[in-house]
Amino acid sequence: MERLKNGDQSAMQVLYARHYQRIYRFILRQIKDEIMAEDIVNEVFLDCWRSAGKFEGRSSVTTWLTAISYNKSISYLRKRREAQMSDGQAEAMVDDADSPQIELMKGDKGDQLRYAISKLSETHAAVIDLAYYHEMSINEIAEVLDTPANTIKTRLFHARKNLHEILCDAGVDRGWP
Amino acid sequence: MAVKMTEQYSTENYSHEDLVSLLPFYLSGKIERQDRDAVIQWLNNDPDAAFILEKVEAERMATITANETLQAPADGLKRLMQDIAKTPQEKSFKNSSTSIFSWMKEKILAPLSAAPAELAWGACAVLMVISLSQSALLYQGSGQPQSTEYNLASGEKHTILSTAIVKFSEAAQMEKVAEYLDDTGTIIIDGPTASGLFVLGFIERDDLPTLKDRQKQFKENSNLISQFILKANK
Repeated sequence: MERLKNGDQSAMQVLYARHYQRIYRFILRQIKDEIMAEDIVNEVFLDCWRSAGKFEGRSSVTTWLTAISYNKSISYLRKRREAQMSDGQAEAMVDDADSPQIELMKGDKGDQLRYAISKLSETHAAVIDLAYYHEMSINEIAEVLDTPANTIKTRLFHARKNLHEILCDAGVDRGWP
Repeated sequence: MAVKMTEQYSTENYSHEDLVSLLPFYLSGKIERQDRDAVIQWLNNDPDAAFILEKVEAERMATITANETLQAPADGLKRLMQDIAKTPQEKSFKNSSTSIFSWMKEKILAPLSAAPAELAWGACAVLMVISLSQSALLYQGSGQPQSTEYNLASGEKHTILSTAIVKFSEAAQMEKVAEYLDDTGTIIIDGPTASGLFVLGFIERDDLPTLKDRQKQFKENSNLISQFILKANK
């Protein structure tokens, strides 16, 4: 980060190589749009370059980058929803995928879970991804989502509960909790 | 929910919801010690806990697999570097009570209130503050050193007897640096470069020791100076 603060572009390349895959996955799983995910990843690292001087080291670089990614993803999703509402697309949207039950019955338990996770809200999906895949601590997730740590635990609990309900609705009952 | 380190950890301090919510962090190892101990105790005492843990592990594996199947395009770096080449960095002066850069902002940039706000910091701000009354840069010359007169934006004029290129230590406090520059009769006449170097000028002042003594004094202050790259002698 010190090299980055001093305008060292090769430091940016190192940072990018180290984090881009993880950041891309996080963003793509939030917004579910590959093209836009590429654009947002670029914006995240560009922001990082632009504001490297403001990085104070109070959180890890990983947490910092993930927080930028989350904010940009949420901002994009908000704009997309607004645009869809104004275009009347929300009502016209038709889910042409198989029904959840059919989709779930096709796969094994892993497939069923992955499908159910993909149906979580952005808020719940984020906390599930950050805890399970990004292996962040409660405090790190709290920083990324800018939310109190106690809320993170509650949110994770409800995300899992929601997961259970999605599975139940599709005829798969694993029991709760 | 957290208990003191000296207390025996007990699941009594945790609700069932708390313990369930801690399982993902228990699996990743990103968990506070007292929380981990409570989870272990719960797992040892409650037969249902292992069943829940198994489900959390399955969710974890499903999430990892779902992520790992996504591959970012390989050409993102090229695009980023092209964008970076066109994007200037912002400078932060947030720690104004401690940073040498903040001190410079306060002491040197303050008189520049009429200057364009978008002035690039390191590259030209300081150069804008100080106008050279002579075009020769002492620290570049290999011949006989000369004294040079500098006009500060504040209207002060200083005769520069000698220059030095220094790097301040990262821990240097602005108050200390300001005090020390004053004590040694030096002013910042250029910098910082990208690597944090400053060009200092030793000014002519009757109340100060000889230039040689001042240079020696300056060079030997290792608390404030991490590098003393070059000096031109008068």
